[in-house]
This record gives sequence, C-alpha cells and structure tokens, in this order.
Amino acid sequence: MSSAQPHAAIPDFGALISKDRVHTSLYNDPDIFAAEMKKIFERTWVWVAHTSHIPEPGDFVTTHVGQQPVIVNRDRDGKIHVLLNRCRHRAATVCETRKGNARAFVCPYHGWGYKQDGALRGVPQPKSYDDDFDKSDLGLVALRVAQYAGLIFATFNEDAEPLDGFLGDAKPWIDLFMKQGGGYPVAVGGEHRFWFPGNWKIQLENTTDAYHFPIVHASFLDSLDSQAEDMFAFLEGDGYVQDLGNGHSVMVMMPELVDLGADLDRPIPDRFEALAEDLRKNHREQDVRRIVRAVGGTGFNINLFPNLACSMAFFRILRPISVAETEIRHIALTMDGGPTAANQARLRLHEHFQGPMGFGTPDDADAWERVQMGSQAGPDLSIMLNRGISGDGHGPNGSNRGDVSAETGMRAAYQMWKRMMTA
Amino acid sequence: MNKKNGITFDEAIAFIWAEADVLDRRAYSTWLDLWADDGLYIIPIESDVDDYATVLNYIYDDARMRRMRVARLTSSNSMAATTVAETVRTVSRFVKTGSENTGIEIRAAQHLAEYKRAKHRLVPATLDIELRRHNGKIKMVRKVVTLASRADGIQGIAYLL
Repeated sequence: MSSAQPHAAIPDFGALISKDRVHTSLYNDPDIFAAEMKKIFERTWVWVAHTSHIPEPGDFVTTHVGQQPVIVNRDRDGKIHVLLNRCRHRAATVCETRKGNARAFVCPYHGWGYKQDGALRGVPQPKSYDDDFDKSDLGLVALRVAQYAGLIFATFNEDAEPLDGFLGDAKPWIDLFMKQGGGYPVAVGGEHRFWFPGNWKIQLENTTDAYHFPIVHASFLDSLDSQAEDMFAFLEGDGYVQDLGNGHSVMVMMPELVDLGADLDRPIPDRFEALAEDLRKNHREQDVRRIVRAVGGTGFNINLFPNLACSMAFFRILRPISVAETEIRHIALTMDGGPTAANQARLRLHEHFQGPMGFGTPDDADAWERVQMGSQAGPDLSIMLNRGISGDGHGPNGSNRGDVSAETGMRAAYQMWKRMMTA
Repeated sequence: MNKKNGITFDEAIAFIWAEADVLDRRAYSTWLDLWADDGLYIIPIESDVDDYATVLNYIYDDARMRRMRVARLTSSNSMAATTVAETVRTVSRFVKTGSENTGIEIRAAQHLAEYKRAKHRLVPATLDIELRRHNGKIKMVRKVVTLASRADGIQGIAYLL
C-alpha cells in the first residue's frame, strides 16, 4: 500500500460565481461556509464597533470576528485594542459581559490576569512553571485595528491592505452618512438584535435590494403619512446603485437626502413640524433645519463587505453563526449631545421599522427564511442577479451603476467573494 | 381603596386573563379597546429604566402606534403576520405592586408558547401592568413586557405579547 495520501480536491469556488448569477450552494453548503470563515472573515477588515461604544479608558464591548469571540476595548492611554476573548492557558473566555469598563481581564478558571492592552500581567502560583515560561509571549492574541470616521475595524491578516485603501470609494459616502449627526457627532444609541434561520449572504444582498421594498414592506408603507409614503416610493425615482469596489456598494433611494448638510431651505415635512416647533424654543432656525433634516437619516444605504451596512439611519451588522443561521444587529444612532427631542424622535423612528417587532424587519426576516427554505429545492439552479446589468461599466469612471432596483451591489459583493475565495 | 373607583386584586387578575385570551385569539380590535387613550405599551430591551422614552425599545407604542401596529398585523400585507403563529399563553404569579384610589399595579409571569412552521418556541416574560378605572370600565394604562431574552437575539415576532 502506498504511504502517499491523495490530496483532497480543492473546491473550485470561482466556478460558482458568474457575472450575473451565483450557485445555490452558496446558501446551504457547510463546507463553503467553513471556507468563507477562513478566506473572508479571517482575511479582511471586519467591523467590530463604533468609537462611541467605548468612549472612556477601560470601556469595552464583546463581539465576534467571524465566529471568533473578541473584546474591543480602550486602554488607559486611549488606544483601541481588539483581543481574542480566550485565555492563553486553557481557552476559557476572559470576559462574559457584552459591555462595561474594566481595568484588567482575569480568567475565572485559573486566575490568569491580563492588562487592558492584552499583556499577561500575572498568573497564580507561578513557581510550578519551568524557567522557560515567558509571560511576554502569552498575552491575549491581538488583531490589527484601524478606524475610519468612528468605525472600528479589525483583521487577523497582517498582509491586508490598509483600511483606507480597502474602504476606497466608500469613504466619501461614509462621510456623507455621518452628517446625520445634524452638527453633532454620531453616537450609538442602543440596538435591536435578532437572528434568522438563513445564510449571511441573504442579508448581505438585502441592503442594496430596493426591488423588494414595495412588496415586502407594504404594511410599513401603509402606516406612513402621504408625504413619507411618497418619499419611500423610490422605485419610480432617480435613485441608483453603484459598485464602490472591494465588494462595497451604495444604493441611493432618495437623491434629495444624500447630503443632509445641504438644501436646508427645503420645506420641513409635516411629520417633523411638531419637532421643529419644539426645537425652535432653544435653537436658531438654521440649526433647527439642520437637525430636522438629519433626524430621519440619509437617503442611501452603504454596504461594506463583509459585515457592515450604514443604512439610512442605523448600522446593520451581520454575524454568520452557521451556514443557515445569522445574527443581525440594528444599531440606532443618535446626535451625541444633541437635543433630547430630536434623539427621542430618532429612537421612535428606529423602533417603527427595525428590530424583531418593528413594522419592517419581521417581514424581511420572513422573506430571508423563505429564501433559505426554497434553496433546498433545485440544488443545481442559480440565484439570479442580473437586474440592471446593462449599467455595468457605464457609471462614473467606468464603474458599475444601475437604476435603484438594479442588483449591482449584489454583483459587487459576489465578485469580491470570488476574489477572496479563490485567492 | 375607593370602593366606587378602585380595582380589586381579583378584578385585575380577571382583566389580565381576559386580555391574554384576546391576544391568543388575535382579536386585536378588541385589544385596542382595553386601553386608556394615554396608555403606553412597551417591550423594552433594557430593564430597570426610569423613563423608557429616553432609550431604544423593541416597542414603545402610544395609542396611534398601537392602532397602526394592529392595522399592519391584520392587513394581510405583512408576510410575517400572514404565516400565522399560533400562540398559547398563561399568565400567573400575580403580585400587587401598587395601588391608588382609581387603579392598581400588577406584576405577573407570562409563559407563551409559539408554534410556527412546525417549530415550537417559548417566549417567557415578566408583565408589569397598570390598570385604571375610567367611566366605570377598567382600562390598561401601561403594559411593560420584559422578555427573559431581551438582551439577546430573538427571531422576529409578528403577533402581540
């Protein structure tokens, strides 16, 4: 018998993606999911927090990069760290709470203690270790960290291109998104967390899918006044979807709400008139108009591959749990130090649509669950992504850009998926 | 207690049981009539909050939002609500947490079992309900449904708790 073992065949992931469709197995093949965790979530920049989650020294939040639990914290000098939430001794998590403030992290199992920067501070009963026991080698594993406009990203990959380059053409859109602070810094203001029984890419696609809106969200549209309903009738408008490179894309639904700092002389919508009147007690008219124009968020969604969306008025974070299970967070945004009435209006607007009991999210989640169930049928069929493909190559500087209901953003994400999965 | 306007513990329990029955039967227009005009229906994310208006909740509904919510759930335009979830809920462990001349405050446990798409799930919660008698009728002034799983991810819910 030969001692040589045959090499397992390396799957041809590239063959699963064509220009205008993807293979159904991307939703339901556990082997593809396992490869995605290695080749995408452990190789690229993954969003982990916003700077307002951890404003003070010692502040931390716990989250995940792919499937790996991490701590995101700010040390006494203000530096941000992203550390694997795993004791170097016998692997217990060193932090169980979702957020807080800690001067150190102490493993509850055998008492190994770590500093805010992850360095191993000390272990109980050190004399049982041999002389070669080197604490300096046994800190919490640290990831590379970078931030842009308050968005904190981390990566396991020392060779990943700098975050600035990775975000590239998405950066001007992120800058525009942050104008919804209305003159104040944008801060996180609570979040809705829910999960659905389906693959993470089904949600990824949805962020730049205007096509579903009037169908899936008919009951939300029914709940709006006529002005707001007209605003959400964007399939008839001049919006568009544009590929921003590296899997990122933007879907502009309401072109008049791209720059919230401009056009402050526009009429105030009826639904915000009471808020404006309240703000006039303490603010100049121009400030009132800036705040009110920002209170409903922007008119566009940015999809940042692989796990963050800056979506109208909130951050959407996806976390792949398994091939057919995904956690979603919808993080509300507020104006940090802004008027209470405006911030409460933002929270009520968020509750209206988002979350597991909002007027929109449960219907989205139901649609995604049905996609996952339906994908068990016809395993050799493809997922069609060809809407608006004639706009590919015809956007600014030869970019791909289609009408508002084009599937341009999905094609952008899957081309990045292909690039990373075949690298 | 003012005998003319007050609400007894037994009356409060009977009201809360009747409300649970209304919700399991999805008789949502009847449910709207159980509310005082200034009532607030709240499903919080955080517990022990002094003023839920200042924080993000799952639900923070005044009368207008309640009407809109019921319209959505009964419109057949919501695909989540169209795939009906059967619910069976039991409310018990009643504790009187406050009373005044015209009302009463009750804390209770709610065990809700849901059945949808061949799957059961449990949605346990603590209820804090404030009732007030108005023109002789008992009305809900405040209902806070604090889910055991409030801080963690939950699947979408397209019925009323």
